[in-house]
Amino acid sequence: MTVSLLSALYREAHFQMMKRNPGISEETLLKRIRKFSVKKSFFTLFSVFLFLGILVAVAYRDSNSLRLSLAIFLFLSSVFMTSMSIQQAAAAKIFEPLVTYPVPKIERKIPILFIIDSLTILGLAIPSATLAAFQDLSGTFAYILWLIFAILFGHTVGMGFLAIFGVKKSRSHKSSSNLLFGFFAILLVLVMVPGFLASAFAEISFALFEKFWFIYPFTVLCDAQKSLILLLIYSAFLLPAGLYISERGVRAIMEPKLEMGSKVSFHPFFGGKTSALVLKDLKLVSRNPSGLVGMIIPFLITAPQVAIVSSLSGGDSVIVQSLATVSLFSPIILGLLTRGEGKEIDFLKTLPVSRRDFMLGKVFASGLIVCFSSSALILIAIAFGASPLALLPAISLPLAISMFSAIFLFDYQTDEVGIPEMGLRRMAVLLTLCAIFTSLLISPMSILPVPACYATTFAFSAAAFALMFRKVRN
Amino acid sequence: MNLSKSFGGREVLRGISVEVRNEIYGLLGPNGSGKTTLMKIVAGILKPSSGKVLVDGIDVEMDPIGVKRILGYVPETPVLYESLTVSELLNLVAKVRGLERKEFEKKVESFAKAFEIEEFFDSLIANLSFGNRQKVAIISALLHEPRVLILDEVMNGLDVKSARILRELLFRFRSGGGSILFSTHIMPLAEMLCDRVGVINEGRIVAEGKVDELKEFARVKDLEEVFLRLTGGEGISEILSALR
Repeated sequence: MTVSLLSALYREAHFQMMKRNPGISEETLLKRIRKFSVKKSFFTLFSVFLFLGILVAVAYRDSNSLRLSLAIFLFLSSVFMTSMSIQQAAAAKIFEPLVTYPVPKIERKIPILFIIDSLTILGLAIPSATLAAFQDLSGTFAYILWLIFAILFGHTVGMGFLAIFGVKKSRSHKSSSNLLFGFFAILLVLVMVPGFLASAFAEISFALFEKFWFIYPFTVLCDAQKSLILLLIYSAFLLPAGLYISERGVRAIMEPKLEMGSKVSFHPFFGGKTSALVLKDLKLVSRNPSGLVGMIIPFLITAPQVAIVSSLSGGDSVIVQSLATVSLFSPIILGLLTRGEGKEIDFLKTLPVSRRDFMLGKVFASGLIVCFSSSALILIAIAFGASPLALLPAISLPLAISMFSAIFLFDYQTDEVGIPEMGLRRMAVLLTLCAIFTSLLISPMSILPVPACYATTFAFSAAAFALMFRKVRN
Repeated sequence: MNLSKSFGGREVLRGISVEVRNEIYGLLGPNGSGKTTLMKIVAGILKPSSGKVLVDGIDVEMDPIGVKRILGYVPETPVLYESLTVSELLNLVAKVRGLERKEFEKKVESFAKAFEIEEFFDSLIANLSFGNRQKVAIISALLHEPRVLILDEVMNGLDVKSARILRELLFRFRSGGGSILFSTHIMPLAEMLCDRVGVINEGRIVAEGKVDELKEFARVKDLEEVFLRLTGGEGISEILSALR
């Protein structure tokens, strides 16, 4: 019974997670959930970490630094993954049906559900451990056991957090931003720590090891025999503590904290129909962790390149290329926002919203999101000496491309609000057309000198946007 | 008028004609009889396979936006933006409907007070109970003073006080010249609230009239009996004895 109960809950938790992803349409969601299996999901995630592990093993050859980094990283990831998955599962109310059934020892079963995903992070350490095993097999065996311990330890700490602070029943936007912050913090740890330990601070970390060899994570650097004895001692403490904390954590999950409200006065906003639709989209995106990550990706991809190259001579051409790359995310973001409507589009259908209004809302929302990335990018470039005039096309280009994409996708002359067909083939055609359109708009940048080229590109894209807007309005 | 609707070859509505004029018209029918489909077509959310719908003289197919301006619709299960707060959702509705700021603020406050949801203005819709979601859906359907109301199982999940308030609001709405198409499974509620009822079964209106007329016609004491006779539910005693 335990296996079938856990696999049903695991499947439901993943279904709810996919459901909140604006990039997955309802049709795809149903297809994926029908084909869903716990093993497949585990091994897919495990393979992703395994691939990253290969990159890490190749990049950092100092095995002791890497061992220490991974011991820290796996622990942190496990804390993060446990608390994130439980918050999401509780928000999706997947445990509520359990309350009505006489499930024995539920406090022992639910924690297993959240260890499954955490264990996939082990994939990150497997490649480097395999390489190390050629030199020291027993040491590597102890090291792997320590990493499993790190995951279970992190899981216990995650459950402990929930036991102390409770599980919010809500999908509050505050918790989403915390999750996002956590995601980037972990990303930073993944990227920085091995390099950090391997270079300037290697000596410090080994000095610390000599003093605190018996404290985790330094224990992973001990010789095999000492390491295994320490592991047994640690496990003797973790096991009872883990069981106790898990029990308390499960109680927090099953009885989420209720937010008692007090009377709040109502504040109407200013603005018209389109601005209300734009505001709605921006709020929905900002409160969805996966949506938010997707929105920042264009910036993350291009920012380092701009920062490095814009200080060099001839950096302006890189700014132009990066601006074009970021602007080309407009049709993708537009697609994500449109698909993200999901079944809630039925609510909009009850309101006097035409497809034209709906489309304009999406144009401005996607344009603004990409504008945020492109402007941030140009601000970095300006800090490195680029012309401030580059900000002008950073605003007009994404809006023009969003409008172009929307005109292609939506049959805006019909009255009914609806999600247009956005299959792979259609999106590929759209991206090709957008690339051609963008090349035309940025063509002054390859002919005119800086900063006149920025002003001209701005004029071109602003005029194109105005013309298309007029066409849609009439 | 003469509405038909098919889903994948299955005929859900078979030439239905209903007229609702300054009254509360109760649409009664078993599960899957076509009530919700009919209401969605009238609200302009679904398109009929054939037939025509006129709301206050406006053809729904020709001018769906025009119809939605004068119509308020509460679906059976309120589908609202879960990541918005109550306040944000009502603001969205007001802006889309072009309501004047001060008037809208006053209305929201009075409705919120009546339905006791003031403390939830800053709560995400995802956090609300079913009943409170229903209240938000009702308020968003009433804010713009519609001329026609389509209410699908609207009393579901409402507490006694809110149900009473809504009932009074519906009577007032009718007295003000409004028309209401109202569906329910609760027969005593239909008896209490509706001026006329129509019984729908397998996509057809099988009986229509005032509650008393129907009772007299069927020679029974209450609407529940009329309903069971018309929708093939007479065999209840045999079913119950088999369950024993």
